[in-house]
Amino acid sequence: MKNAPLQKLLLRTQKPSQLLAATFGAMLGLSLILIAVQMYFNFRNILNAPDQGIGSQYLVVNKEISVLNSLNLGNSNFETAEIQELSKLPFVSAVGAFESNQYPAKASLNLAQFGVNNGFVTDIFMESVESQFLDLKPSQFQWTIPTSNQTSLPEVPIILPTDFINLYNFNYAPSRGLPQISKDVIKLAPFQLLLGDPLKKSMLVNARIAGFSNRIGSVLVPINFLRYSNQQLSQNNSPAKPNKLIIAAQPNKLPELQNYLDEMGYETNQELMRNGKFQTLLNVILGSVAALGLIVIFVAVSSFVLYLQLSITQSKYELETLLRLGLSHHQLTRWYVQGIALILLGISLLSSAILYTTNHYVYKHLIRLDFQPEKHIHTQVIYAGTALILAVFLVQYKTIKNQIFQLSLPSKPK
Amino acid sequence: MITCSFVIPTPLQEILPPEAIWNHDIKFVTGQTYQIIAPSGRGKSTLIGLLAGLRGDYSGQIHINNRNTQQFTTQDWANWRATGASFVFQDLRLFPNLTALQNIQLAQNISQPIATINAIEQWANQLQIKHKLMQPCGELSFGQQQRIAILRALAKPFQWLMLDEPFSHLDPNNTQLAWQLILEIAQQRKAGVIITSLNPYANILCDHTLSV
Repeated sequence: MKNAPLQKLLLRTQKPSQLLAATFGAMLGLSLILIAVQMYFNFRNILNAPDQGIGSQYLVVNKEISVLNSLNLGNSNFETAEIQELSKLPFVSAVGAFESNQYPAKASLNLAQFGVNNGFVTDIFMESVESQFLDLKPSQFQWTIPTSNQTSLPEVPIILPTDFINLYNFNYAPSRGLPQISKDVIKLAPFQLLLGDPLKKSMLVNARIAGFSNRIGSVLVPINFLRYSNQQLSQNNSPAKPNKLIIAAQPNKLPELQNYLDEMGYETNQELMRNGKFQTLLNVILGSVAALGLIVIFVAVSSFVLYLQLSITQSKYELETLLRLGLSHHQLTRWYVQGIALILLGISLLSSAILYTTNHYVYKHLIRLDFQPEKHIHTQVIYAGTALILAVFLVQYKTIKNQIFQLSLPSKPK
Repeated sequence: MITCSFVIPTPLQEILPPEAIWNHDIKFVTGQTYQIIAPSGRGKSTLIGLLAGLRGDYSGQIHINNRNTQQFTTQDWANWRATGASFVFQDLRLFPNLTALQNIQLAQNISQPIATINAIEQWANQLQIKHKLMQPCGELSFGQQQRIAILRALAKPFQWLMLDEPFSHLDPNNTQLAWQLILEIAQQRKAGVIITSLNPYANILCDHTLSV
């Protein structure tokens, strides 16, 4: 049937302002929820990205150094039993021990080929940890044990803490009038490591920076290289006990872990701990935005339902007459539902536009901050949006159907 | 065929008049015309309401085309009102903000179009109302509105035409013209007619008259 006379009949009774307000509310609520979900995935990507672990749930733990240690009377090593106890805790998913060099080591850098005259030599230390605890695994971060007939050792890849290059670039270099060095340039620098005591037994090996870690504040080398060099150069034969551990905490269990560590007198990097809490805080904020969105949607849908009920009640005469002329309640319901579907389609399109624009803006902003966020709208966001729109549609459809069906029933006054 | 078997509307149960149409076995046969004459409050409009499926407060049984209306779904009633029966209600039920022609065509849009615009204009001419077709119904007098409501009922398909005091505001001449048109179209479609009134009309002759 043609709709033009119906529109004139049924839309006459209601002012559009309430419908506009409800539409705007539903659009706002939907947008808030979708943006919250998209941001959750955006930030989850960033927080869990292997080399951007600002919220990594990994902690480097050591024992507190007391006066006794300084007097060489105490020791800060972890016993096997202590490590086992840690790894059995419910909020700990894995524990790794740091191994370190047990021989003197120097690193030197000759920058002559870069046109810089003063190279440098420095004493260094090296550490290793099982690769599962690393926040970045560059493909070059591998070392093969040399065969007996190899004359020179393979080049050693090194991972430096990001703080090191920052300290150099922003503190050391300006004070000495040295050029600042980018991460990419420093990766090209040919280091040489002199390992062991040159008077007794030593090794010379080329090294190169393979990457920078945010998670571990130490000079890292592949574990098989460390074990090989220790075996070759160390004076004492028994492997040293670890004095630093890396702990992978269960998601969102950092507070429990913190309590345990405090109790045991272990120290950890408070910054990392804060980052872990930051992730929890971010989840709370996004959850709140989503909850706010849900409340707004609920209010908007209630307002929609009220509008529809009022609209149908005010059009009672028209609807009853149309029913008397032979229109079925299905046809009338369909007419209303088509209108609602159009409105919801409009809401979906507008919310999608808002979501896309916001995500684009956030993406550009995060890229500028050197993160790698999600560029596209996450599929889960599309699912969530579709589910919400369908739910809203169902509520409205039920409202319309019930009300018009009531009108179509033969009346039985008491 | 429509049969009413010992039907008593609930509001009339206490004050049931002795020789009413109520609580009897009454048959309405398609193709025949029926006039129901009764004073106010005897349930003339209630009968139309029951036969239109607008109210269900009665005892007894009503059969439409051999089907018990107690078993009608809302869709069955919608189908009945769309193609089975056409009504002129006492309160007319026109849309005041639509023009007379829009009112007539609205009913057509709902079911199959059965009358062309030319036919409608010709009928309107017969009822001396053609010049009012483009005016909003709200601006017409009640007598003019009654004729528009009759045209609306005629313009849609029906096997039964049920008119509740359709001529109450028409003069004898216009009543005569309207009745002629109704009879003519009902005969064309082999349809039955049920018409109620307070008093017998001098110029209306029906196959059956039921006085209450």
